[in-house]
Amino acid sequence: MIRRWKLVPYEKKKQVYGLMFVFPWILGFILFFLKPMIVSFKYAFQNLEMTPQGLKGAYVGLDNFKYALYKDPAFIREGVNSLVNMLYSVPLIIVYSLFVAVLLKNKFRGRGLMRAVSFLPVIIASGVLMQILKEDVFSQGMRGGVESVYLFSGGGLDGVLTELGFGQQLIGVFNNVISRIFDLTWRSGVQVLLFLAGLHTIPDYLYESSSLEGARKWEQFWKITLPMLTPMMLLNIVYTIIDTFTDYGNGVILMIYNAAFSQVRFGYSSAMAWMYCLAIAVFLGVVYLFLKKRIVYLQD
Amino acid sequence: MFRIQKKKAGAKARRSLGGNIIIFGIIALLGVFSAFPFIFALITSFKPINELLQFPPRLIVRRPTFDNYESLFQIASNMWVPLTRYIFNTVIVAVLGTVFHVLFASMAAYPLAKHKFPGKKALFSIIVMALMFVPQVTFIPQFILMANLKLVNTYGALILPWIGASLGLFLMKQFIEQLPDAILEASRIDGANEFRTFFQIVLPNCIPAVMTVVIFQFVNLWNYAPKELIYSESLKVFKMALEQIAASDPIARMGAGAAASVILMIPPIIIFVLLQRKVVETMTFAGIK
Repeated sequence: MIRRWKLVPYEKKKQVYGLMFVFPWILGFILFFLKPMIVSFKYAFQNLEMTPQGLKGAYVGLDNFKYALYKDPAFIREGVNSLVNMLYSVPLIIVYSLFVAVLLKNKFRGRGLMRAVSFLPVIIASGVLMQILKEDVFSQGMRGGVESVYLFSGGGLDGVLTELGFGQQLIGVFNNVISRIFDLTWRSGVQVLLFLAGLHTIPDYLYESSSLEGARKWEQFWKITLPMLTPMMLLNIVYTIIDTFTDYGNGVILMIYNAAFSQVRFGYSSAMAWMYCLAIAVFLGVVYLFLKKRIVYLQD
Repeated sequence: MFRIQKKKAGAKARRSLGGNIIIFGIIALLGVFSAFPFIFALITSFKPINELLQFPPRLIVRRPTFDNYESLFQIASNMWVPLTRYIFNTVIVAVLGTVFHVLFASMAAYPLAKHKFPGKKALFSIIVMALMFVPQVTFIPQFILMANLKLVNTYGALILPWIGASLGLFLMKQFIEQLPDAILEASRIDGANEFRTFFQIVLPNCIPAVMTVVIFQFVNLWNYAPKELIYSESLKVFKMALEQIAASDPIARMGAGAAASVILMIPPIIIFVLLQRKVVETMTFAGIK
């Protein structure tokens, strides 16, 4: 057996090893994700109901899909909404997080602290704060989401600004701008971290040799940093698109969630989820094809 | 170990003091936005009860007290399961879940990024598809599955699904793809088999990626508390216990709730501060001669 293994050509061996490495993950994936996904696909064609005997459903064909597309006015509307929302928020998040990551790459006192601070939203957003402080007036809008965060219009900052003697209109503008920036910082913690990791994979010698050739910082950014970051850029764009589309505050997600858990229409909910997922997939595919040619890999 | 090292880059162009101040200023300003909820929770947790109920709420605390923390621990010590048990559960779940996810995801990512094998493309599209899928929809089938596997109300329900989670795999694959083929070829020529290549070449050279995934996963798991999967009190994680404390009386225990959320946020922050240094340091030294 061992002798025969030695005779196997190297390319073949690599394939076997590759499958061996993927195997444990695949096992977990099939068991805990793929199987439930397939089951939910089955549900999409059924009118599932909760009965005292458990879940019961009969095959209804494409009814669930038809209902979402032709009868439910909210589905298409929310879908278009979230698409439009995504079209402007993804570039904003990417540019903002790239900017912050480039700043945070610099060496300065308190850099570690600042990095931690820029990552705080991720810790908080998934954290207990959101749930525990729900009753709190001040953080009513803090559950995140696409809808923008109302944290600053909830009276807290208003009061402080009025005390400082600002006019009502100015406060309005101020609030709006601030809640936008807040929303942005709120949703780009992960992206900043990914860009930071990406920035540190760029070898120093590129910068050294370019500065010997007389390149300025500005040129270095456009000619070295940006092209070298393109793989990370792709990753980040894909991540951000998925993240915005599957955000808890997203209209479609709320619909899917409500259909499943408040109306107990699992079939309809699954059908919407599958359509939504396919729509995102198509969109991502287009983006991916568009970006793929522009990616630079360091190979020497 | 076998990491390819090179001397640290020579003296970099020094930025002027003014430049430093500007950069710091911008970052500090943006930092205020990111840190605000945390600061707010921190301040709330130090407020005495009459200031907590004030409307509109103030950003500053007039007379800071430790009452909220004291009452939190008092409530906790009155419960029949000791608080340490909840913390122990959380640590077990967070650490094991992170280790499993990072190990298996990066193992799977390596061939996906650098090998050719049948079905690779199809596999990767399934992974991306799974990333996009609304998790809530698979929730019920997943629960039924867990029940059939007799995993409900065990640590397994919280830990095992992460073996097959796709986010880490996706991130690792993108990072490993950037690793130059030359190092892998060199290690193969030197006679290392694929396992050795993976553990001694690929992983050490991808420490920043690994650390990034570790940070995500740890933070994620630390806050992971699916109430449906665990019902016996002694297996519950810290977060569930804190939620129970805060939710039993949201008004009177608002302060205790804030204190609880501050305590709960501290470990992920510490993990982040410790590990982000690794994200940075290793890569500045690694490179190709």
